[in-house]
Amino acid sequence: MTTLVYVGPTSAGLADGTSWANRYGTLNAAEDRPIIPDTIVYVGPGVYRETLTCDVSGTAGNTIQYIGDYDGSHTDGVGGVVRITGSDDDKSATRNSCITANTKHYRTFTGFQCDAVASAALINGASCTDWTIQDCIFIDTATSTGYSTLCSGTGQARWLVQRCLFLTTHGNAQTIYFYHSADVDNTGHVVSNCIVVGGAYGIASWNVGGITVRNCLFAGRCGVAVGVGAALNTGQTMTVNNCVIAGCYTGLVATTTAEFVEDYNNIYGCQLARSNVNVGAHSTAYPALLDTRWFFEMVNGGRMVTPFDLSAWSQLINLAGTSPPATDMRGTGIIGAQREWGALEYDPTLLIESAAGGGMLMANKKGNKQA
Amino acid sequence: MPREVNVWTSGWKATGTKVLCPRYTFKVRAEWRTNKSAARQAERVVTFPDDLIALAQAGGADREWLEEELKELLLKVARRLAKVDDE
Repeated sequence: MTTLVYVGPTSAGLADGTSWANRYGTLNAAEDRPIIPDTIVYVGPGVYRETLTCDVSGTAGNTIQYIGDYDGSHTDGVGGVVRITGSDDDKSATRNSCITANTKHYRTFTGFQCDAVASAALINGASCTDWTIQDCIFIDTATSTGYSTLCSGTGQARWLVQRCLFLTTHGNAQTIYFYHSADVDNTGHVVSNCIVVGGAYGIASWNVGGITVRNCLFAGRCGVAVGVGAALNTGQTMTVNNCVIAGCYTGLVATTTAEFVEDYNNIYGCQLARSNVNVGAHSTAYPALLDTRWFFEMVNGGRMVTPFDLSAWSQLINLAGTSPPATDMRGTGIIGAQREWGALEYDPTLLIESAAGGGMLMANKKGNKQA
Repeated sequence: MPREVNVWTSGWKATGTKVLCPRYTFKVRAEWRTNKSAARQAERVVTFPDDLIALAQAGGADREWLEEELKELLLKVARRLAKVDDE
């Protein structure tokens, strides 16, 4: 029978994690109970300023799942962003990782925002197998020596990274990095349905073979969208299919043509489409032509949150500037003490569409105004 | 401008030949902040090609980094010599 454990940004009741009313106040408190295989940890909306250190492995069919409860249905009934951050003040980075593990297996992480670490990786797993990272956003990687997700070690295998967004990655940092100092073969890693914006590499292999990348979008100046940086063993490959790569410096990179298989990909607007990668028979080079309706709605009085709005946590809100325009890009006047830097004024009343109810909810209902 | 550029490299090898090249030098002053917001600064004189050679001889991560950066530069050189971007 699956064990359910509850965590919130502050503890409550008996603080033994057995219910939301008796929740733990930190992620590590749940981990250290100690957690056992076949457990779901529901993590309530709010900010977690800690590094979750995974101490326990799940087993096949009995994974240990941490679920960020964005819609609040298992926790506070309200919902909002579930944020793990490396920062203590939202101005600088202190901790090296949001989640870290060494030789821990069958772990799943769903629904988290991970941000602002000092070095290493937002999620850092060494010689870990059978991990799933899904429905997460990785944002503001602070350092040139950092990674959004780092899968390393000779024992690594079967990571699934899906439905994640990697945004404003440091321009010299790797985003999704599979690494080891010597060759690791047939890992069975899969990355699918992800969006990567920026970073030196979008998805990178260093000596790690057997990676498959499917249906991902790389946009906005990734140094390399997908690359093999260190030669793979003979017969090992990086396989990329059904991806859209737009506006990156280089699309696909390998050390030799034999180690990289690409087909059914669209690469457009890159300084270099491929380096040591043979052109897939079904690949194309069309303009991606992303949907722009959100932009025209915004500048014509639309009230929805965009990917470029500041969050309530941003320390850029209400900073004094010099001679700003009276209104922002969407025509909004000053809210609060100062006109925000950047193009968009922070507006906690902006709307987002609810996935659960199909209606339009105010941002403070779904995460943008929470403490 | 070209729309879709693909390149393939092969036959990388050290030829064992040394050539004379002009030496350049310049001063660099760098200021930065650590992730914990501590201020740092450094100054040094950089000499070409001496400091490239120093990195290559350092080996390890320094050499790997240098090879990667120089490979990118050399690909740009090849591209320019081939007049890829003149199309």
